[in-house]
Amino acid sequence: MVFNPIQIVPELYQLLLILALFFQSLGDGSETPPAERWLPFFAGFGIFVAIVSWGAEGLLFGGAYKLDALSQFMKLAISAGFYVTVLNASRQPSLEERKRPDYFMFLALSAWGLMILSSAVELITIYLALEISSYSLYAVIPLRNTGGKGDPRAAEAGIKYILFGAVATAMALYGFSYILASQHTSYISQLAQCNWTWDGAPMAVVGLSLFLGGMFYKLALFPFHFWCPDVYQGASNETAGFVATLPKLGAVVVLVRLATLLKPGLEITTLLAVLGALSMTYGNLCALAQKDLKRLLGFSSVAHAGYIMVGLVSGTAMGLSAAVFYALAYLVMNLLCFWVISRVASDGRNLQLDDLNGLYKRAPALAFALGVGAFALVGLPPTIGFMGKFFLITSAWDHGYNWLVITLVVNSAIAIYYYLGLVRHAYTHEAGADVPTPDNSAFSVAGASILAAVVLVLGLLPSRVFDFAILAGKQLLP
Amino acid sequence: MENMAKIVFGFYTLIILGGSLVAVGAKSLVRAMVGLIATLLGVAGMYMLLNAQFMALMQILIYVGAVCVLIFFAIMLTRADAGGEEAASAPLRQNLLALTAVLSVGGILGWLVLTRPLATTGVPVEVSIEKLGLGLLGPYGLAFELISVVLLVSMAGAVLLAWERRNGK
Amino acid sequence: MNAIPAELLRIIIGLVAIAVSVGLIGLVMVWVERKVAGHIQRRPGPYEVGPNGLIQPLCDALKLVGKQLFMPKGADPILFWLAPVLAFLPVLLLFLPLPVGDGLQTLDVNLGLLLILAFSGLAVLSVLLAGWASNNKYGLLGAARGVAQAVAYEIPLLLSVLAVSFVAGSLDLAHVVKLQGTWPWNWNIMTQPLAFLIYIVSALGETNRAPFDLPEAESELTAGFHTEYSGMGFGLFFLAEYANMVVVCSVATALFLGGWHGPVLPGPVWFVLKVSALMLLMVFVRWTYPRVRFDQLLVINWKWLLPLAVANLLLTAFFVKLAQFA
Repeated sequence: MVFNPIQIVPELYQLLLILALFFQSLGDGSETPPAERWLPFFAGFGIFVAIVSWGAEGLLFGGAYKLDALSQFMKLAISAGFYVTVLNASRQPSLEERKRPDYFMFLALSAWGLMILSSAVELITIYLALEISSYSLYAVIPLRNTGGKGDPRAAEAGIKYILFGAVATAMALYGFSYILASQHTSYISQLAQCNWTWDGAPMAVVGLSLFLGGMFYKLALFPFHFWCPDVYQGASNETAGFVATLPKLGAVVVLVRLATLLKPGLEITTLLAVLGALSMTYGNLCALAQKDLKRLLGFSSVAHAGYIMVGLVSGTAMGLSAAVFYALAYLVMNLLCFWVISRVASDGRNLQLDDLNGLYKRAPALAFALGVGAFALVGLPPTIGFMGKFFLITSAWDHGYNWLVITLVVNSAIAIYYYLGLVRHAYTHEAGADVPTPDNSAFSVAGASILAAVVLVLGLLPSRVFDFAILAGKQLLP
Repeated sequence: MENMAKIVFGFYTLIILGGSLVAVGAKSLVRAMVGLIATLLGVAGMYMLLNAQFMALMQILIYVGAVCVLIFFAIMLTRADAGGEEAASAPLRQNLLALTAVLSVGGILGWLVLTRPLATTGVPVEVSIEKLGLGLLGPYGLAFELISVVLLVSMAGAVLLAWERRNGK
Repeated sequence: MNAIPAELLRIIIGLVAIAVSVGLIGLVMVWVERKVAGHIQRRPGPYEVGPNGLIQPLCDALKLVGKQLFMPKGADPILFWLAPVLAFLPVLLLFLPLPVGDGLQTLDVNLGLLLILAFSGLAVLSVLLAGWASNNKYGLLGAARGVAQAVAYEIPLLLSVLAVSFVAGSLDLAHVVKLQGTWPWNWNIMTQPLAFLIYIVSALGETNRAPFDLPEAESELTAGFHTEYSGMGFGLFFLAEYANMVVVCSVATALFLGGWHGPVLPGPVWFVLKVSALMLLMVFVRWTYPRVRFDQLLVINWKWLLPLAVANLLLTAFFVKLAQFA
């Protein structure tokens, strides 16, 4: 196999950005243009760079690194997500001037880790890539400056994230040792040949469950969701916009790769299904009671993590494709919602539901975009959320987990209440006294409209993108 | 020889268990730390028993000699006296819950190991450091390089969070 | 009954010999150190007890053994007594893989160098425990200094040692010695002079010897981490310090100075001679250089020793690779 650098050019490009930011963070920043000015352009260019290696295929680095449709699809999604989050964070009011290069460096590093993750097919590599992405976030979350000093809520969020992360990591590694002890390999392609029934290899099953626990932590699946609402709430709006979106993609890609080991009817698959069902129900029920917008979205991610499980347990190529597609949908919808939140809270505060009151008068474009985002999160047509759920349901029906599909549908009905509550506040309530002034600049409106357009267009014409997802799924489960 | 190995195994197990009990139960943070060190040394002994001398020595060099010392340093910089906040004993309910958690997980795993033991692969063979090095730079080369990025991230993160520039500079 | 395995017998005999020699070395070194200090400061040093004061250290040792053991109020009793033991016991282990002569080695392991490096790390721990457990501010300060220093100086030490093992392609001390020749120009010091220099400087830092004796700086911290120890508690720390010096010098001899190689005289004699010369050097350094300030100490390490050691290691690796191709 000849090593061709073009194949991994998205990773190399991202690494170049990281290096540039690193050197900028070493200086005092007086000689270089501020990071938030130049980085968005280069991050935007990264999307095109990701397209260059679109069709790359191959197995690199001793078989630990696989380029296939799934990985390239995810890398493109990550580049795009990174672009939007960087753009979003470029006008962050709660970030100190001199910490900006570092802040963006860690965002870039986290995205880089996720890119590696989307190609890694060996458990140790997967684990390390995941750690790169998490460690970067550990450093970024406490960076929130309100009133001239560090925000204690952000510090608390950071500590919570680190402690939960450490436990999840320990669990994953402990599980990994059991997998290694009983199956004697850490390559997914070889693990796929092994026996994963409880009767055949109970130790491997326990090990894999523990290892999956580490991924569930990233995905915020019940019962590993505790950090999620707290971290979203504590971190600044822009940081939460990153934490809520991109790492989920990384977790999904690993779960999709590991799902190739699981056939329907295995104990571990049932475990996934049960956790998925619990996660949806718990997330949605908790979200009903939330007043803080970011907490609400936090519980909503818990629920969405449950939805993704529906695609993973079906054990078919269609199911995996649907999960991948849903991850993309989740990314876009949440990017849209966090974009609106960051723009509405122009002073960097935590938005309460009441802060949205009368948004249609103060910022009609943002209010409309928020409406689109909320509709998409519910899963109403003609948005990408609807198509995503539709694919999930059709792929999972009749593969032994119909009860899970029914749970999904029931949960979507519950979710309508609080998602549409956002729209209700924005359109039907009148503004109170202490509401933030939303950012109505061209930048803010353009970003919101483009994201809203993506949500709508992918909802109306999903076939092109979904074809890619199907290709990715078929390569994994021929 | 086999009996001797069993005795040594038992000895190391006792060290590990005793150390971890001290680490969890001690009132003073420094004593807990010493318990942790004992546990790590016991684990190093286990590696020795598995004929993985390199691992054993690295365990001592890195965990006992470096990591624990750094944790120790951090403890010393805080007020870790026995009258501190963390020294107060937890309420009974919390203790019971912790015990249940430990027993349920430990029970399942213990039951697994006892009733469905894995076939052992015979006497452990010593893996030379040449082999280890080739493995790290060959099939696990990417993982090896990623570790350095993880270290970079954690160091840069620590600097970012903890370092205050002196006024105005 | 089975006979005791030969390997075990060898280790037991070796351990006994090590324990005896550590005690003897301690006695001799105390005398040497006081004599050298005396002459450098233009006074005779001990000369009352025995010829030239030779019996003086023995009397001091007896006095130490006879002294009452005190523990300060509020100290942690377990940790307080654990510390000196922890300082002394690992040192005995460090002697195991030292090749005194050809085949004259207690434990023939192929990771001998690593073993020494691993267990010498425990010495820091004892400093920490002693300083913390004595419930004394000087002790605590000494311990805090000890950690910052030991953690820092361990890195260039490791890196300089690694450079030599790169060249030799082994972590086995005896093997490294075997690759060197009889005459000084066949020794590793000729190919790795920078590594030798870095090693000696960081070894002074690791063993807390002046000019890097900040953890026990007597003019600032009374006695630093062992302020509160009396009798043999103090004695064990004292012995461990000298034993550590011997180990450090022996490793330097084996790695850089050709170990047991030398013309005419038998191997072990050469080994002992070289080690003694290095020890004497350390004693001379102690009494001729003033103590550095703490920030200077860290600057020397992080800004000079570490970059130099890394550069040296990279160059060595490069040349080793080049030699493989050639």
